[in-house]
Amino acid sequence: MSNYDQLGFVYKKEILDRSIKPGFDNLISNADKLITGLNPFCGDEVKYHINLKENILTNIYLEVEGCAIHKASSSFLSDVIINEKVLEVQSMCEEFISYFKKNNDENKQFKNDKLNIAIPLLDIKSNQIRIKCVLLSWNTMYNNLFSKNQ
Amino acid sequence: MIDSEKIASDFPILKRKINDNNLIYFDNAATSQKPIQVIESITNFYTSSNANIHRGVHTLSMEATNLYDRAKERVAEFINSNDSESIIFTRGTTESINLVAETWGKANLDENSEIVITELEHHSNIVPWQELIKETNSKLKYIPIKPDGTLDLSNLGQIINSNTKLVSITHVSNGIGTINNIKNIIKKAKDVGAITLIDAAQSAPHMPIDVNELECDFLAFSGHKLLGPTGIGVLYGNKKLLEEMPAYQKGGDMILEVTYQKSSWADVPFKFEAGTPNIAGAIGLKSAIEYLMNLSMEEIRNHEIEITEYAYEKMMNINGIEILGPENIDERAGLISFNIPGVHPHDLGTFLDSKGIAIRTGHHCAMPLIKKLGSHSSARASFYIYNTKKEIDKFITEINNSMKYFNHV
Repeated sequence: MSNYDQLGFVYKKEILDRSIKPGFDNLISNADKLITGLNPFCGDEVKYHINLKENILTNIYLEVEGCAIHKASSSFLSDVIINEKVLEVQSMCEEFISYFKKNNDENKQFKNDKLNIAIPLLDIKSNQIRIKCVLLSWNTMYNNLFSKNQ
Repeated sequence: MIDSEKIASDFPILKRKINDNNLIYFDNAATSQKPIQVIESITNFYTSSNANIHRGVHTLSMEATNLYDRAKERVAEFINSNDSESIIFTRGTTESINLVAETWGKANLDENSEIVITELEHHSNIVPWQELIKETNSKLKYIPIKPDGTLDLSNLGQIINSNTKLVSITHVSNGIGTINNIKNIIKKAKDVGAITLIDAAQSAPHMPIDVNELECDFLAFSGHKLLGPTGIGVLYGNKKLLEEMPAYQKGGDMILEVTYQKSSWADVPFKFEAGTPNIAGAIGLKSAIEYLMNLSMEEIRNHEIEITEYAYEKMMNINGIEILGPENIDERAGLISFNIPGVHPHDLGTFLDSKGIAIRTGHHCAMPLIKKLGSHSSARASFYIYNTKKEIDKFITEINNSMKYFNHV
């Protein structure tokens, strides 16, 4: 694989686009929940300000700093989970995270259809060091969705 | 005068292609590459002379023992120590520092004692002392840094005082390249009767070291950062101190006599070398040191001043770049830590890797230092004897390309 192909394998256009404009940038003044994550080793940081109505994530304000992969991944996650029930969000995060833990990466279709939005991230599995950049937001959401406000 | 291109031809790995590009290896602060002479010294040992040392009366054991002992003598020569019995082989700088903390530290510190380090330190010269002060109820103090990454010595007289028992400082910061005036600090320590330990991990590979001139009590460095194999390092120690210190690890080889009831220890330095040592590593280290001494450590330092100055000036022309550490090239080792706008260090590292360029990104095992300077992470290029200005030119070009790539320019 040439060097540009190798780079493009990790940094797909959607990832580069979302790293510059992650979206979900409308400020929420009355968030029902704040979920935060930080990787102190590199400074990747994410804050999800979310509104909940009848256990559905109705609104997200995303604050994200760090590398391009982390910013894009946080953006993809926001698109996946908006307007979903919290139990469904939990299940989708678990399925996404487990993809990166599996040895077999042939099957890139998820049980939860909405996760397919995040397919551009999956090839980063080939770059072991950057997997944690992909997963910080997903682990943060999965581990904290049901906890008290941070 | 160093001929880097000729030197590079001695290093088999430098012929590798990485992602269809010639490898440009700028991660020497993490580990150095190995010349064929070092690789062959290890292979030859295992091919022809492998045996355990200091035990057998057969030919192979005597050959192995001779090679190991000659390695110690060469290390002593390298740092201008008069006595090879002041040289202990360890696994590396981290183990050397831990050895001093566990033995000298535990035996000599109490609730009235203070240890002084600096804000520039690698984790291996912070964490052992943080743990030691918990066990001994002593205190840990820091010589602070100025915004330019040099030490602020304005308050040194207060920081190093009559309570100070140990001053343990890095000669060269692996995080940002600052070269410390350790002679001055060692003198201050001696004035109050404190023991001194120098972390020479980033200096011993790159400049002359003279323990006689420095008059430090301990000095530590790693073989793998100076062309040697991994798993071998050095602790130089004042022999009188070593004789007074308790033993470190206990078991075979470090004993004089063992009964079922009790044991006595061997003489220094063997007291501190329990078990079968990294014999092949010591032999590889000897070969590495000989390679470097053949080039002259002064010439190596001159070469690094030249290419670091070249790189620094070119990098300063990159729009918005932030270079951490001192501006003055005489206060800087061959290492440049930096951040560029709009490209996170990890993205830069991945981008450069796609062009065959290896740099380090992250906190460089100096989290408190990088945080104090206002970042979580940085990119770090660190140079050595085989790096050239031509490689730096490509490095600069690709940094600029990365900014276009990640910002849709």
